[in-house]
Amino acid sequence: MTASPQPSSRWDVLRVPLVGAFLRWRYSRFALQLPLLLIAALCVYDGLTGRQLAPRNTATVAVWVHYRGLVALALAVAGNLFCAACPLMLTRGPTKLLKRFVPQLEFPKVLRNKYGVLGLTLLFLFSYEYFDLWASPWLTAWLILAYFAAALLTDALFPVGTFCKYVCPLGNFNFALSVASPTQISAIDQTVCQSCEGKYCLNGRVETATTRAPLHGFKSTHVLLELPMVSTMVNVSATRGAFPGCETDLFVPAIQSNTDCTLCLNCVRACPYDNVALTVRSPLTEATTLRPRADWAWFITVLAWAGLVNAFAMIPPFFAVAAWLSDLLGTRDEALLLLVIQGTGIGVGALLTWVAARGKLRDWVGVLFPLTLAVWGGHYLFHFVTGYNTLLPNAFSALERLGLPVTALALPGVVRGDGIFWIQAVISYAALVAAGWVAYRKAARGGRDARAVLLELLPMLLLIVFFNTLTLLIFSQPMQARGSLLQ
Amino acid sequence: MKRVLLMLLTLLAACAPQNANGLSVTLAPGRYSVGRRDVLLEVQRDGKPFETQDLNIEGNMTHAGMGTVSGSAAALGGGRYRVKNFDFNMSGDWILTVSATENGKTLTGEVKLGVAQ
Ligand code: SF4
Ligand code: SF4
Ligand SMILES: [Cu+2]
Repeated sequence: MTASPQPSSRWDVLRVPLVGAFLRWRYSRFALQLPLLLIAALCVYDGLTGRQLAPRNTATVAVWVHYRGLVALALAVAGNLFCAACPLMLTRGPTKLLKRFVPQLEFPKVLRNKYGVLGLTLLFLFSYEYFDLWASPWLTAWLILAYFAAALLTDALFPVGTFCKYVCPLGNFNFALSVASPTQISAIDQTVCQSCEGKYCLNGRVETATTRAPLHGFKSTHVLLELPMVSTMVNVSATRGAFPGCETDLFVPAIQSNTDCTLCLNCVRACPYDNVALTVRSPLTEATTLRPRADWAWFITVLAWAGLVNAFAMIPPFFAVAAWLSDLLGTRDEALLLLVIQGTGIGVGALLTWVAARGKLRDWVGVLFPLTLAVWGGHYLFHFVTGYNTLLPNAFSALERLGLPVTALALPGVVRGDGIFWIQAVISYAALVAAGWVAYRKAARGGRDARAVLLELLPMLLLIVFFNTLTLLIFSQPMQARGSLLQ
Repeated sequence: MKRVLLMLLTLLAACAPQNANGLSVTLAPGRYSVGRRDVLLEVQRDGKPFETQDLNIEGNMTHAGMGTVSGSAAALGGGRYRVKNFDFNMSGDWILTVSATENGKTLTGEVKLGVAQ
């Protein structure tokens, strides 16, 4: 185990007055999940029974404008707040119940990587365009329901946390962007962790008046080896009760990355030594230091280019390309055309990245972190800025139909959103500079001389500039929303 | 599994609630581009021209988060209406919804159109 940089002197969000107290509170997560659950329920109701016009329905507005916009914003300025507040995790109760009746399976070893969720993410991005999910309240409502069902089923059959880690495209999207977030869970004092008998942050803790033990025994052998005892008799001053550990199997003193961290803060509550911090860090820390597993490196690479393709699908040239391709291939099959466009965009992008990294994608993928956040964030920002004020009128009219005493609000007029291009440009250029810096840091490793550094750096710099140019070109075009690929 | 789900979803999409209620709307042929435009509509009810003095028209884009544009239509006779200076302020797909009341019942109809840059 390598020690993460000693963070004790750094700023710890959990020790900020009020905010810290709230986050440490046992029910803070529930307090965040409950409102989101209610909103999700309203979305399902309105999506299934309300007016089937995307701008006039709570489901489509909340999911495709607010949820996406706020997710990106939170990731950029704070961290993976959405996973922390994810209402899908309220299925934990029903999951526990179901577990008594369904067989308990191991999640297959071959699937314990990010390739499966990479496939699901691509499938989602395809469906998003093909079924025009953004235009259909009805499908959006079913998508929400399907998500709840999938979370419930997956975690009922497999160990809890399997859904978040290996199945959920949204969660993994959040994980992938949170590598450029300015906060991270870390241990305050590594020596406390070394002598910690239960590694409770990972294993969970159950505490009675006289005993303290890991909640479900020890999870993995590497932890077990370091431990002389399984349960100890201790005098406890810490709160009694059962505190679950990390569901995605992260071990606090070893955490180097936000990958797989849902910010559930289970670890904070499970650690009896109050040794867990949510440290404020540079958003580029991970980009410069992390060498992710190959599956994760590919996930992020694909997500970066998918961000470009997803934004591209909203501007006029996309439809021109579709028309040209339709002539070229002699087909009007939209699924096929979409597959070709998405496949080429993402495939060629990923290949270029691999080439620029000269095959060492894991070493260089950090360069993409700021660019990925910028392209998704800039795109979602557009929708959020143009549509943030359309949620309340829709939610109110849905509530009114439910018989609640609310007064109807008029939907505001169409906002074109051209005015936010300069913000998108600032974001893109900030990402360009950040990515360039990360690339430089990587190239300069091991004290090479200037010429060697430059040679090492050049392909990556070209890739960064290429990516940023495409981002800006797309953002500078008028955004459109069109259901049909071909006229 | 997700594939199966999606197939189910497509099936279910067939039974999504319908917006149009009683009226069918057709658009006079023409190309629309961003800006204030006149729109010519023909409204029918059960295949016959629909006449009213009070036809409201509302424009929405197909993408969530876009606001709404509304206007009113002047009857030209024979179920034909003209909407003056309708503000297509963004390019993309639009849906025009017309509505009118008849014997206390609200009738609506929809038509889709593309607005070029
Ligand atoms: S963070 Fe707390 S529970 Fe986890 S190993 Fe360190 S001291 Fe133990
Ligand atoms: S328990 Fe795991 S997922 Fe939750 S905050 Fe701690 S490290 Fe992150
Ligand atoms: Cu968009």
